[in-house]
Amino acid sequence: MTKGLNLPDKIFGIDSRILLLWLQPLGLLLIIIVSVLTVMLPKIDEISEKMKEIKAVTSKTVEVNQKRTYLQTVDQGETLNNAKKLADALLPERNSYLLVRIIRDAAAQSGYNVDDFSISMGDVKNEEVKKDNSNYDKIPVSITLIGPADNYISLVKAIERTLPIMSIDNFEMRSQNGVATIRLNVMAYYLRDISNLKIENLTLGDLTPSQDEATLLSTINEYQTMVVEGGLNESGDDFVRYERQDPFSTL
Amino acid sequence: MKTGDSSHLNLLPSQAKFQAARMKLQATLRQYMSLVVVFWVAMVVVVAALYFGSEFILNLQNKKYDQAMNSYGSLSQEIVVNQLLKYRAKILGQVLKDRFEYSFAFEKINSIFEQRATVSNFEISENRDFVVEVETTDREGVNFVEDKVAEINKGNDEGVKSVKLLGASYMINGVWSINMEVKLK
Repeated sequence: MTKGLNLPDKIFGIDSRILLLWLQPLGLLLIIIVSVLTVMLPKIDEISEKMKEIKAVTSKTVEVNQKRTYLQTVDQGETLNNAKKLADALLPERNSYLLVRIIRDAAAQSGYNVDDFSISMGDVKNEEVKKDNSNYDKIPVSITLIGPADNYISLVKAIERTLPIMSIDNFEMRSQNGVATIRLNVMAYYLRDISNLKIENLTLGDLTPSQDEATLLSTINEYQTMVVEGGLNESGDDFVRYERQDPFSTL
Repeated sequence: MKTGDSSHLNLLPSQAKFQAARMKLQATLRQYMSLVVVFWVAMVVVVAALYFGSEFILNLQNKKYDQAMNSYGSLSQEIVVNQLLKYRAKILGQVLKDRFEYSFAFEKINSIFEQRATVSNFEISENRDFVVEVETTDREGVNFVEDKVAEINKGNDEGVKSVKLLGASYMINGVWSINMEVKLK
């Protein structure tokens, strides 16, 4: 029997003292395998993840710096002017009466006057158009104009080449003795402000102007801007509250 | 006497041989174990270095990113204006693209009969076909309109697809009134 241990002299025909010699290396191997599996491999995975994260953060930093540099080099005055020009191309409020006033002013340039108009309140939900997460409202009016028959093309041009942008939906013309009666369905557009803008999600491509935008701006620059003042108070005077006991009193 | 006890000096030759082989094996195993331990320790050091190193670099890069974002965020006003411009441009571009240009169509139709006949009445059907009434004061004018319609229907006009004559009437004041349906290309 081996000293200290109750082992037979031989195990499977091999001297037990020889087998005892292998215990230490086997124990060491076991410790190494366990440590590699439980500590080293997970840590190596973590390192790999961290490397990927470093790459992603570096790339994001480069992109953010590019965006910042781009914004700093852009002429902000020009951007503001362009944004204002595009704001002029839209109705400042959802107000059909405002649109009638604009058409009236545009038509007056071609010698036309408003005979009558009708405003359809419509179904707000149906008027709302949603495309690519952006939404705008169509503001329609039906209007009858009377004026010189020879100027009907200049009238249509005035409506189609005026800011805010208007679309003619229906056109009917009757003329007699050089006087034309034109019935139009006209639409203008009202755009809501951007909500939930996440500036960190914007790419450099999202910030740089596209060819389409440049074309649009050059097209719109040729349009005539009508002076549009919001609200129904045409005189523009401030509202004054008179605290009178007798509403018919002029004192 | 115990045969495997190495403390005995008086060993048999076979036992001495076994003992020597065992000691040699033990030494070899220790050598390999030392190598394995050294290798393992080296691996632990490398992995630890990579781990803490990557952690350090990641923190550094995150700080740089935060600084860049703060600087970028300070331009939020410019970004909002930029995005507002793009947002409006996108919508208006679509509106203009989808819009039917009546003035262009009218100019086209008006140019068909040049100065020989004038457009008096106008209607547009749902599918953008034009029902037009033109007036002319003489017979030559009527002939011109008929010839022009025939020419268009042969496909000789660039902007007009077809014209269908709907009727003609002679009025008391000597004016010919011709009704037609015009389809633009």
